[in-house]
Amino acid sequence: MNANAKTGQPGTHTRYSVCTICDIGCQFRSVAKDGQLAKVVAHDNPMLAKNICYKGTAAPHIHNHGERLRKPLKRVGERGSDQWEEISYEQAMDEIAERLSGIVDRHGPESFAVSTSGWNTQTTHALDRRFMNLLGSPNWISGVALCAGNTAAVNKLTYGWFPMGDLANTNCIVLFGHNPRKHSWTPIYNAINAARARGAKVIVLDPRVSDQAETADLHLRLNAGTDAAMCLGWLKVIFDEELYDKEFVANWCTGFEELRERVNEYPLERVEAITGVDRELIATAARLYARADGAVIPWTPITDQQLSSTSAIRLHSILRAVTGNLDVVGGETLGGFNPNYISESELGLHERLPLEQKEKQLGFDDYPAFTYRVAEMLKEPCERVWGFPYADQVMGCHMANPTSVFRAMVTEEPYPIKAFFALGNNALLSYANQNQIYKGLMNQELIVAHEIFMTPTAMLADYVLPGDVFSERNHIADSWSWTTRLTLSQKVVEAPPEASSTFQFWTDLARRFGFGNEFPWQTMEQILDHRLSKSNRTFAEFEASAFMEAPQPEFRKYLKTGFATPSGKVELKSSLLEEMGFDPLPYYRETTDGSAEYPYKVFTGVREDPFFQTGQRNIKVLRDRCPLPSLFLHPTDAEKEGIRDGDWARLISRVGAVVAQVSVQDTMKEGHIRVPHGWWYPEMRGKADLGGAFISSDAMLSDDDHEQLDYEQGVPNFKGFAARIEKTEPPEDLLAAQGA
Amino acid sequence: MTQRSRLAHWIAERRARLMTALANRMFATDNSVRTRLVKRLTGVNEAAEHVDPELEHPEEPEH
Repeated sequence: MNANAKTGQPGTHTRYSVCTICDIGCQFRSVAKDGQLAKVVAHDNPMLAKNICYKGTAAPHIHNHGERLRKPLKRVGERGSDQWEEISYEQAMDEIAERLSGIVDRHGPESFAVSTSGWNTQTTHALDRRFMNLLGSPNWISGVALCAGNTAAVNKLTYGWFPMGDLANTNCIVLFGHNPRKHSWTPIYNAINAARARGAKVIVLDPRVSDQAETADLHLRLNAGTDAAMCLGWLKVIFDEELYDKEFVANWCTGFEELRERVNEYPLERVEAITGVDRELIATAARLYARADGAVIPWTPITDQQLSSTSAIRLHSILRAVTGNLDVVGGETLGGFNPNYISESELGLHERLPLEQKEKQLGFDDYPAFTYRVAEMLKEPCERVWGFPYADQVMGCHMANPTSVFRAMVTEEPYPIKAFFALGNNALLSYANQNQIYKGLMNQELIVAHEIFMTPTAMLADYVLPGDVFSERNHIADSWSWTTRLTLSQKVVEAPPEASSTFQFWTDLARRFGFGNEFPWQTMEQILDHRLSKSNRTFAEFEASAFMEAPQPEFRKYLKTGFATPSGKVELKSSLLEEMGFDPLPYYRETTDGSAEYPYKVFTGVREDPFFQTGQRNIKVLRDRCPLPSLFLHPTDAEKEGIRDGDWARLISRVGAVVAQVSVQDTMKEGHIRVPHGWWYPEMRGKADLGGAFISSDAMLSDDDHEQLDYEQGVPNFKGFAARIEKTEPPEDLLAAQGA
Repeated sequence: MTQRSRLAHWIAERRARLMTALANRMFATDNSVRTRLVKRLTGVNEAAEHVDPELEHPEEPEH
C-alpha cells in the first residue's frame, strides 16, 4: 500500500494529503492528472479511510476554480472600491516592504498587526511570529483567539499544558455543545462512534437537539452561555458525594478548600435556575462523568466564546484534574513537545522580542489570559517541565487581544495600528463588532491580504497576493503541539507561478528587512529538513518512510516533573490570575443585556457542514448544499413573532442586525435563536458593499463593549447575548444576484 | 473517577505504548519485514476502499 502507486488511471499520480479546507486535518489521497488536481479519494489505510468529508472531496473544485487568485493585485481605486491592477510578485514584495518600513519608522514596530488563520495557511512554520519578533511587533491575532487557541492558553493557567482527550481508550465523552458530524470534525465524529460502539457513554450539553444529542446517553438542554454554572453544579455533586480522587487532590492540587467554598455557592437549585436543566439530570450527568474509569471533555468551540469563558474552560480543566483524568490512559494526556520535530514555538523566536515590546502587546494589561503577560509568567515552569520556555500551543498562547487591536486601529489609543496583514483570514467577518473592524481597516495606511480567493477583507487591501493550497506544497503537520503526531502532506501539482506559500511570503519579506540570516531556508523542504533535524532525518527520508508517526506516549509525567505551573501543581485556585488581579477561582457571570425589548438568547459562530469559517460560499458544489444562511427558531417563538418557515427575518442585537431566512425547527430550545457563522455573498461582488459582507454576517451582531467580554481573555460573548427578531421582506438585490 | 492501582496504570500504559508502536508500523510506507508483518497481523496490509455517495460531487467545472 503506497499512495505513490498508480490509481489505475493512465497519466495520473497520487500522493498523501492533509486537508486544510477546515481545521481538523483529515488525511486522504490527492490524484493529479495533466498538472491539475483531478480528484481526492479516501485514504488507503483502513484506519483512516472514513476520515473524509464532502468539503475535502470538493478540493478540485476549489483548487482549480476559475476565480482563484493567480496574480498579485495592487489597489488602484479608493480603499474598498475593488479596483486593481496586476503586478509582479517581486514588485508587490518590494513595495510592501518599503511601505511597511516607512510605517515602522513613523509609528514604531508595534503599529504593525497581523491576523492569520493557521488552519488555512498551514505552512507558515511560525515565520510570521519570527518576522514580527525580529521587527519588534507583538500584535499578532488570529481566529484561534475565539476557537481552540484561547482554550489552550486558559488550560495552561491550571496545569501548564493543553491536553488532548484519549478518545481511543475513554469510557465517557462529554460534549459541551460540540457537535462533530459526518461532514464536520469528521475524525472526531468517527472516534466518538468507535468509542460508543465499545460501550463508552456520551453526555451532550446543548440547548439544541443536535446530531450528537440525538444519540447521546444523556442530553442536558442548558441555556446558551451557562457552561460555567453547569460545571460548578457538577463539582457540587462530585464534592458532596466524594466522587473525586482524594489522593490526587491532596498531593497534586492547590486551592481545593477555597474552590470547595466557591462551589458551595452553587447549590443545584441555583444551577437549575441558571441553566434551565432539571437538578436531578445535572446530578445524574455529574455522577456518570465522575464515576467513569477514563473520561474526557474534548475541546469545544462553544465554551471558547462565552461571557464566563475563562472560568468555564478552567472548570473543564478542574473537572479533569479532580476526577483523576489528567495524563492517564483514557483521560486527557499532556503530550509535551514532539521530541522529533522543532516546534513552531521554537521557530517563532519569542525570546528575541524585548520585554518592553511584549508589554506593549494590545490586551497585555486589560485582557492578559492569552497574551505575552501570562507567557512570561509561565516561562520558568514551562522550561522546567517541557524543556523550552515558550509553548505557543495551537498558536493561541502569545496573542494580542483582537478587540483591543481593532479598537486601537479606530481610536489610535494607546497607540496607532497603521499596517495590517491578513493571511488566510477574512478578518472583517471573523471577530466581534464588524462595524468597528471596518472603521479600523479604513484607517490603515497599508493592508496586505494573502488569499486564494478575493474576500471582503482582501477587497479593502492595498495589495492582494495569491496563496497556495495543500495540493501544491509539501508539509508535515504537527497540530501546533496540541498532539505529538506528525502527518505527511505531499505536493501533487505545481502552484500558479505567481502564487506564494506563507513560508515564501514571510521569508521574502524578512530578507528585504535585513533578517536574511534568520531566514536561511530557500525552499519549503529545507525548513522541513531543519524541523526534522531533531531526529536526524530529512523531509525526503520522512516522506519515504511514513504518512504518520507518533513518539511513544508517556503518562503521569507529573510524578517526575510536576506540572508546568508556578506551584508545580494543578492550580484549582490560579496563582497567575490572582497575581494579575483577577478572581483566582472560577465563577459564573450572568448576561445583562436581556430585556423585554431584546427577549431572545442568540448563539452565533455556528459551523455549517459545507463551509469552514467565512470560506467556500463561491464553491458551487458546496453552496448548492446550503444556498442561504438560516436562522433557527423554535415553533412557539415563530408563532409568537408571526414568522413562518422560509420567511425572511431581521435579527437585531444592541449593536447591529442581520437579515436571513428563517428555519423553524422543533429541535431548537424555546427562547433561543441560532445564527450560522461567516456569511457573505461572493455573487454580490460589485453589486453590494464588499460582496454583501454586511447583510448576514454574524460578526455584525456581537458586541465588544467591556461588559460584554469575558474579563480575563477579552473574548466576546457569542453564546447567549440578547436580540429581537422581526419578519422582513426578502432582500431583492441578493435574490437577484442569485438568479432567483 | 479514574483512580487505578499502580498495576492497573502500568498495564494500561504498556498497552497504549504497544498500540502506538503497532500504529507507527501500520502508518509506515517502508517495505521492511517488520512493517509488512505488523500490517499483515493487524489486517491493514490491503488498501481500504471507502465509497460513499455523499462524498461525490457533480463533475461540472467551477465557473
